[in-house]
Amino acid sequence: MTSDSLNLDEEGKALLSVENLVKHFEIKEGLRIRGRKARRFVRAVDGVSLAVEKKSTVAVVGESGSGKSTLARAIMMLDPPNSGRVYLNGRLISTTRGVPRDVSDNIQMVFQDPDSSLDPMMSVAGCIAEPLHRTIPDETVRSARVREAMETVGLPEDYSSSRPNRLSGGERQRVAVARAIAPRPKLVILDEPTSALDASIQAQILTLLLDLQEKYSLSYLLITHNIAVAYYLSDKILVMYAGRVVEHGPTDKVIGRPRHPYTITLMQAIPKPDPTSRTLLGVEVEGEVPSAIEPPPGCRFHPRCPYAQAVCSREDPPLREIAPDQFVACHFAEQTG
Amino acid sequence: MDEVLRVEGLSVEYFSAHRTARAVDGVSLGIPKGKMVVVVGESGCGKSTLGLSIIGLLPRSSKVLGGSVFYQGTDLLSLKEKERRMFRGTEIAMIFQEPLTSLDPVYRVQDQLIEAIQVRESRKKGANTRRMSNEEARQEAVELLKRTRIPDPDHVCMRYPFELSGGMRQRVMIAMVLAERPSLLIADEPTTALDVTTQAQVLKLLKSLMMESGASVMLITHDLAVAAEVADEVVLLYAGNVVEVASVFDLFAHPLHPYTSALLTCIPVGPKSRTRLKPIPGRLPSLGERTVGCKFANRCSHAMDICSRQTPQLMEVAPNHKVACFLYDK
Repeated sequence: MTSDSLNLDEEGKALLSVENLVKHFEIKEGLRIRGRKARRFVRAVDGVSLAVEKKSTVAVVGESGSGKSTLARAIMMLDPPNSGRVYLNGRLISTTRGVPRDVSDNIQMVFQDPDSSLDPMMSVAGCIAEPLHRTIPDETVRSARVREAMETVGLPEDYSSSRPNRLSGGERQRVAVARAIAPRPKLVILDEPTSALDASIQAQILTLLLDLQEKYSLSYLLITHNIAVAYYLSDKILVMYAGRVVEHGPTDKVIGRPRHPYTITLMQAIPKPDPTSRTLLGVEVEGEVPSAIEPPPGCRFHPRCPYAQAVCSREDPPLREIAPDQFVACHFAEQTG
Repeated sequence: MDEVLRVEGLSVEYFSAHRTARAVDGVSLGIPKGKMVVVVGESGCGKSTLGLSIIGLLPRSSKVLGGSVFYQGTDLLSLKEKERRMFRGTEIAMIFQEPLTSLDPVYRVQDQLIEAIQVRESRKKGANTRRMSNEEARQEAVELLKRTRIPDPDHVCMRYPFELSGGMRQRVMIAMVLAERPSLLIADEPTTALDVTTQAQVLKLLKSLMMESGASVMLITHDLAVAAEVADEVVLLYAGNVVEVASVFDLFAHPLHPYTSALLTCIPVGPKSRTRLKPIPGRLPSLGERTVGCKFANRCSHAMDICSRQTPQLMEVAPNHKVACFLYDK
């Protein structure tokens, strides 16, 4: 097994640690007359650090354009970052040659839309076996592993030879989960794993994810716009806004007592299934998430922020520890909420 | 109570060469004047088809099998297309999840708003007395955009729909609805494609602007939590049937139908340490399957013998609280 080559029992270190990750995309503007225009960039992820402990779940939440999916793709080296480092169990994986082969089995990903992440020409068993070919060359062993993965995620064995498009959305997402856990990874990155599913099916997948975490001691990095899902699954939460982390800390604290004005707004804006404590219609914030091409100077939330002062448009607030383990990037974090 | 719309026993089927699918199966509901009724259901429950059949925009591959749609006393389904068109927009308006498919990509925002305003004017009684000038209409268009709290409405007027963000486009759609002054607005997942903060803004607008003008709103959504935040009344659909109708407070405090209570335990509301979700086993029925009995029976933890033999009817079991389930059959 490849995992032997990693010192997986090293104590006191996070399983995944990301340091100051930056991912900018250059805008290709067709014909450019030399010297006339500066190169322009989409600053999708602008200096993000995070750590995922063993057997724990870290959720990255944010609205569209916050950079959360780019962050996941940059960690996986699907869109290699411009700068910053990613370590898996103390080993650098953000190398120019991509994630080292012997590490890549330890980190797997589940995408939002199983329609586009599963090959329509492959059978269900083929999809799940795909990442196993290199590590398990023996076909009987491999198909035993596939059967085991299918059973674990609750897929009946007779689905093995069907094509993914014969299955329902929830079943397809189970195939994607089975494919992710089949190589026995340590970390699974879940990019909006339930966003395309109906409520009753979402609950099935969320319960499955919790069971798998328990069974295989998995760590999850959950990317989602759905704060209820993040609250349910995660131990720690990071709130992103326009490419930056604005608040992070233990999930209970951040959700129970959000400190950043953006987190506070987000909490109000989330529909809650209780008509006796309505908050959504009380949301005061106007405007939308700014463009990541020319983000506002200073704090990126200041044009929409009810607490904004002159300093907010000049100085970019750093993340500060406002309460134990709770970090907030706001000049006035002590006065909010 | 005074109802602006009453749907009675509506059934709609989609057909192809080989099979049919009954999307709406004997649905009855009423929309009280000046209220927001939220129709909730998972995919395939027929909620969008219901909306389309009320406004009369069903695709050709579908057929209304029976039932009636009374709008202020007139059965819309008995009208000819020409007569029915007169109701569309100025009496009953509809907005959709993706405004880009409803807005014309080759016209500026102001042209589309002006058209809506002039359609309204031309349908007024005695409209031939004076035609509204383009300049007047344009000023009204800017005014309408202002009411939807679009920043810099003069600028937005000159833009094409694709130049606007999703939230802005939905506001333009709402401005068009305001221009037509309908008494009923059907909003089909108007905020599903939007971010949560934008969703909050758009829902707030819908609620405040429609209520101001005394119009009724039928909001279609898959999200029970959205219903909890904005609804006066909730209609819950499952596989083409109405399973429960109640005021929003009754529905969340005392859900009666096993599907309603099961769906409520599917919504994560806290951390895993304090709550355990109870997923509904099985999957949503496919619409092609014609089954006898309650369509939820095979997933229901309270299923009895009768559930697979007979179809439960919607009954009022408490004041203004209706449910279609044999558990309450006295």
